[in-house]
Amino acid sequence: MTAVSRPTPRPSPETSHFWEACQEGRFLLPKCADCGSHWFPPSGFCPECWSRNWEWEHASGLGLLHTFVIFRRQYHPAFEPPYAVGVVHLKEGPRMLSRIVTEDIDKLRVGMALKLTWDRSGDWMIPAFQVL
Amino acid sequence: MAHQKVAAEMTNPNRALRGKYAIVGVGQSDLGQVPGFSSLGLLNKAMHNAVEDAGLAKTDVNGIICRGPDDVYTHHQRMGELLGIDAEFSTTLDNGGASQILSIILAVMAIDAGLCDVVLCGYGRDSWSRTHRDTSTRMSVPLVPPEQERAEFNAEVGMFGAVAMHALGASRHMALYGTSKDDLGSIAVAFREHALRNPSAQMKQPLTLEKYHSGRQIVDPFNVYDCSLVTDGAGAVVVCSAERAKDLKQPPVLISGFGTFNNLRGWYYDEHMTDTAARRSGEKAFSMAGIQPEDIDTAQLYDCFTYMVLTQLEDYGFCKKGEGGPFAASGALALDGSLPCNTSGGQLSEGHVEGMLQILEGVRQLRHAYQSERQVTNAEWALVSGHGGNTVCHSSLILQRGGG
Repeated sequence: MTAVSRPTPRPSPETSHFWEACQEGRFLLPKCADCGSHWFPPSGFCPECWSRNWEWEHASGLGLLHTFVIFRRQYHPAFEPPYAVGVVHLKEGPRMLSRIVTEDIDKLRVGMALKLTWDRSGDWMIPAFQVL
Repeated sequence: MAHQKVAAEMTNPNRALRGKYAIVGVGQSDLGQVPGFSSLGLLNKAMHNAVEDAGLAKTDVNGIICRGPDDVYTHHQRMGELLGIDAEFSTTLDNGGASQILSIILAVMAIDAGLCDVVLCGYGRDSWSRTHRDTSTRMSVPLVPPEQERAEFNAEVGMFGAVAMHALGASRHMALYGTSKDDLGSIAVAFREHALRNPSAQMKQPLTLEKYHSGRQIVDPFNVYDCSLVTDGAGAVVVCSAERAKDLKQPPVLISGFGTFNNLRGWYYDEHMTDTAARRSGEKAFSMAGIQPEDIDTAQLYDCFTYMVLTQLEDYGFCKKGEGGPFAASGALALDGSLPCNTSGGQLSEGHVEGMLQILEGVRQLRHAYQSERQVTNAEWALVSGHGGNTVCHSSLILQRGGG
């Protein structure tokens, strides 16, 4: 059996800096210099006030588990079930999809406090979240 | 609630269109495992049947609006070629499961604008044949299609498929409101009971709540019975003016209300998973039709998954937010319940044709086309819903029995 590798990130011109920072262990979010909003996924304009005046900011890596699912059926040969995927409500405001890393998958609950960890996949560092 | 007040005070600008147009013909292909037909072939058959049902001829049709299938470019052009029709107005829509009602709305708009008179709307897909027709196909088709493998911020964390996307919503609803697996199961059981009365339905075996709970888990909290079917099938309708409908073969079914709303900021944004675009789409449709949820005699709701029915029951105002579970579990969705729902079996048990069959069933119920064991008694008003496009697009249709 040849091991099938996981799908790797497919950075776009707007997201490549986010992924480059991830490879150095830095978790960045775009932050609007005019209205103060953070957003995700990264894009060239603030989706709240449409400002073009924004910068990358180090995010806290803290969040809450907005909701989650547990894959019981194997969809992809590189992802062995069971595993959890959740929507993380980041402390800065945006929400992002993430692997939820936990020792006991059956104890996951909506609303749990989470913190950033790194999921190494081949040459990539992918943001993931673990129960705080 | 502020939004309800605003909706009530607003004079719906579409009211001038209320009841001005009608669905005069419906048609479908065989459903389920239908070898020997491509997506286009299935839709061709459904469109032929719809025009014949209306008592119209090919030469009467001068508009074609299609949805997909996903991999056929400019689909309406292919259909026009197969049907042998040059059209005054034609296009293909891309709003997922919300497209089929949207095609009817667009047909009304196009006719009202004087662009055409008689429009064929339809959708078909050879979904079962593509992936399940024989062992080698089953073995060779990847569970994760290439476009999902490339989806940034999804594939690299192991997020695949519509089941998981909708399961995220169900999981949150369960946490916020105490919705249970019994509640979800009661929806699957109710629709299966309806399918058993429908000879064309794909599912032929009874489903009990006990059997539901024994279903193979796919993505928690969904098991196989929470998920709609893989279906070869197509459906089509004919839309024209209510005036013209008077002279046609079938009792006309009037298009009395419609609405759309699209939560394009995403499924994860705000409370979009548990307060879906059905709410504002429905408010517009009810406002246009000038009726309330309690006036609806039968609801044909987009049931790609059990949970989507549950949240729509709340979002359309058939019960309060958070009470969709107990409402469904009370038996309300049965043929003799307070809101007979998906009376042909729905996508969970009749067949998944992206909402097209829901429209057909709404029309047939209002025609009083069935014997008593399938007929909603004295059905006057039907609500039909469409949902899709990565879970955030919604369209609503309110139909009224005409000719009264």
